[in-house]
Amino acid sequence: MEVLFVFCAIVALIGGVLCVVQRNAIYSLLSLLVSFAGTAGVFFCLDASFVAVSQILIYAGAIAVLFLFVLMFTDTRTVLGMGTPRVVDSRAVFNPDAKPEAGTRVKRFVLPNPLAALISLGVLAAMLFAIFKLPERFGKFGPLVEGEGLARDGIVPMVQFGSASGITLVTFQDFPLAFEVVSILIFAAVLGAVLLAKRHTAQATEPEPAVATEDE
Amino acid sequence: MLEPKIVFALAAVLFSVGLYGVLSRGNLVLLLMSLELMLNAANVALVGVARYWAGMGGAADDFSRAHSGQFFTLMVMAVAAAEVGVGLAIIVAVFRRKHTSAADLATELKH
Amino acid sequence: MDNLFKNPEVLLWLVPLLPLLGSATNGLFGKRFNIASSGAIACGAVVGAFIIALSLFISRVSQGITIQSIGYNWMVVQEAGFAVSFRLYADQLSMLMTLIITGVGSLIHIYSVGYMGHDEGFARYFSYLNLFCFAMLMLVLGDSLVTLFLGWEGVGLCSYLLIGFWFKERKNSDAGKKAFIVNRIGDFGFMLGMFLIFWHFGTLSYMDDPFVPGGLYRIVAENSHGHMDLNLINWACVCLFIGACGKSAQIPLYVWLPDAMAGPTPVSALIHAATMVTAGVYMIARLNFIWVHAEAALQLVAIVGAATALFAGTIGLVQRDIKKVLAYSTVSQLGFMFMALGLGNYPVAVFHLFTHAFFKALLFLGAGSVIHSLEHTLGHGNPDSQDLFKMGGLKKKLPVTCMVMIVGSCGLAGIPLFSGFFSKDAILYTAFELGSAMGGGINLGYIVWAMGVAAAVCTAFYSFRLIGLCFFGKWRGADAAYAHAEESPRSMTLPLAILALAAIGAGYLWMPAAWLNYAPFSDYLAPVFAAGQEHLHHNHSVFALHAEHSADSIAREWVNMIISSVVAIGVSFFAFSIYSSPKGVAREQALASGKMGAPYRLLLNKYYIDELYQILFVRPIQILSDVAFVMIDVIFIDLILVNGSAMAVATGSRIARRVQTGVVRHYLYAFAAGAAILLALFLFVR
Repeated sequence: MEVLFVFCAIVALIGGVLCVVQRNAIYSLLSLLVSFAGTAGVFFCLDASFVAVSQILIYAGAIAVLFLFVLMFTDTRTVLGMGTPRVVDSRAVFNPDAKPEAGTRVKRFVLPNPLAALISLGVLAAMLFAIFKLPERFGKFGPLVEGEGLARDGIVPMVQFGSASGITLVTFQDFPLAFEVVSILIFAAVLGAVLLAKRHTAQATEPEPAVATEDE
Repeated sequence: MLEPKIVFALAAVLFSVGLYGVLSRGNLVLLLMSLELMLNAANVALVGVARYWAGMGGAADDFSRAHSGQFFTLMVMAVAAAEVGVGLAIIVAVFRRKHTSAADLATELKH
Repeated sequence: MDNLFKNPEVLLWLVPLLPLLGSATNGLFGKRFNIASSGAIACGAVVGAFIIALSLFISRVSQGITIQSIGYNWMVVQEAGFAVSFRLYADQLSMLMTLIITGVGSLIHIYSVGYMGHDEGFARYFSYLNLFCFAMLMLVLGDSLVTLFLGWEGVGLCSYLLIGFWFKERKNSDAGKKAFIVNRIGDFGFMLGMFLIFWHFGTLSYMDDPFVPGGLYRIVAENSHGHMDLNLINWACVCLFIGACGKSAQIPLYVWLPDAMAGPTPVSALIHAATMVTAGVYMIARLNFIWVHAEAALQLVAIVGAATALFAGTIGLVQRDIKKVLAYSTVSQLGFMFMALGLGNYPVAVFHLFTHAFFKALLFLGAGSVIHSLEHTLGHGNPDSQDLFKMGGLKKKLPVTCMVMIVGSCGLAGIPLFSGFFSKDAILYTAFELGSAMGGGINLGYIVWAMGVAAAVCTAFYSFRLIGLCFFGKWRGADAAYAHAEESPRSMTLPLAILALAAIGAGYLWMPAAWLNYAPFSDYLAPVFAAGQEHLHHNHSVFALHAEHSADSIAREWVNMIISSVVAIGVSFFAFSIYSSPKGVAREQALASGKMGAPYRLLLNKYYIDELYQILFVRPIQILSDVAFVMIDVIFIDLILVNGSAMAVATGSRIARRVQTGVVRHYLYAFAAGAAILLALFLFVR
């Protein structure tokens, strides 16, 4: 189990780092998927089998596909050597034949952003320090116990920690309201997404002219 | 190696990587991806805490309570899904208007 | 409701509130009124107040019943034991003052309808005039020094507003400001006096105080035998007297009153002759139970009063402006009142106040009638319409005015059988009597008496100089003005006639003891002064008043009376005979350019007191202000504070504006960095 954990953790980390530094958006998304898969393994190692499965299903199945579609709709190509697209010309970017100018080498990874690195390293240092200062009892996971499930036909089944039955118990015994609220939230989000993404005819006929490159 | 502090440290590192992505990426879609990475890191920490409480022992009632962390992981996933849905819809809308998904070019709020 | 208004405790409030209501009506809606409705409202308010006051006087106060109105405690400070008793208190003295204010006030309001009818600001005028009546009534009726002070400030404000009524002319508004500023000096002293009294007695109310039952009356009466810090009371009284000097135009703060003649003439009659300027006299008479303990302060009052009477009287001798003559005579007569107060004879001071209110209002209104008739032709605000040297022979044109002016002048000059004779003579007799009681050669009483007689000489002289110059002899001004001069309308002559009757009759309310033992005025006022007199009798003080007169004192009174009558009649006749002849003016001018030129000019220029104040006080303050203006206003406030702060903000925002790039990522940086810092703070700074 420990070996699996270490392996999955390393996969998740590598995937995360690659996701962040890849220039190509599709590669980035794939790296994100790898990271999610690794995280799922980590969940599994932590006796959260149901969550691990949900992770694969929701992220890989739903969210990643959503990202993919949006990447298709929008343009993710960037001007050479820059982290952000600077030239904005809808015709040019939608031209599939548009190629980088000859003689320039397209790098695979974006250049590191020192300020962002500094801030995130600062946050990391603070968090690691906090973790390091945790009390001694956080040193080890205790042995797992099995709990009692709902009685059926007079027999009380034993339920494993992290299984679907266990999650069901906590969801409907302890947090039914949160569950319902989240369902409403998702419903609202779906409605909002549809409204936002819907093409408004007035806007479609008269697109705003492209904004100049430099900040004013 | 499988111990709470290591799990938390993993979550912290993943979080920082995601934060770096959020701060450095200029494209809104990629920015949103990095955001997902951060949420995922939080999930790792939640699951780790849930495992820690499950190992603390206790009465039968605590058994279902120990699942709270996992339950909240699921909640975070659901919220993340909703957020990605809305976020991506916004990106599409922005793209329609400005023909770009570069975060730095959407400066209308300044005015 | 019916019963409520029959209740004198409630009804008393109507006396000041009616004029306030009239003032508010004219002030708020005056633009829609014409002179008739505006005047009717104003006159109705004051006449109504007079009728109510009269009914209360007849039914209660004249029978010795004082009225304490309903009210409430204002500005209660529990810890300090301080409260202002916001009630009205009508005793014999305040009721008398109320009757004078509303009575003379009514006549002057009616007169004003005629006088101010052609002025476009009549609504504003009546609003101010009514407001003045309200403030003055609060001053006299209030049951506390604080309400007195409120009224004191209120009448000061109205005086300021009315002096500067024709504010479009710079000199008028300047005169208003001068009155206000000079009064502030006095008010400062008055406040100090109030503080000292509160410090010593713990209350400022006369009768009713939630913390000190019985108010000042009781607490002073209880402590009158040696439990008081007499030093402190003397100082408190001196401070109060400074306030009285400001309001009642005594040396050294009299300078505002002659300038105050810039206001409309009825205002001069009401405010600057009959009522407001007597506020200081009223205040001292009101607080007589405290003043009897402050003999040093009283002597100061006597000296200042006598000096003012003489000083102002001499200035009045040579003034050419008809109103200025009357103004200086007012200052002089106020000096007589303070003289009486300082000598401890409070009822006589009030008596002189009473008679003076009539004959001086009469004189002012008569002068107003003269000015009014000349202004028709000469134009409003023309100084010639007030110049005695450019009048003469108006008797034929203005017969009624002439008659009443002669009556008023006889009163002022102290011609026997006119009211001024009785009151002024009583004052001089008081001084004479005190001089003999003190003994030991030249003493305060004799000094004051001598100054008083000299002032009476001046009074008689300028009174009949005025009459002679104005109504007799030959016309010396522009011919057109004389040709078109007409007697004033009925609304003006009727008040004059009533006042003339009052000016004759008022004196008979207190006959000299040498003639007849008939003094209803004195008997009526006696309860007000009873407590203080009791203390004085207890200590066998020379300042105590004596009801019964010995044969010696009767003899002294005869002597005094004969001296003053002879002086008054003789000097009056002398002055009249000079100035009623056509050569009067020429003679005076010859005197001015001749040997007597220097003292004449000294008097004409009012002893150069204004110039002296200008050099002593105004100049230094102006220079200081100029320096302060440049240093503080221009450089410090304008440049550094105002522009500097604006520039600092502008520069700061120009820099700060760059933070707001509108780029989401920059905000994210800030957000994340802030989160990191907060986290670090939580971890390390615990």
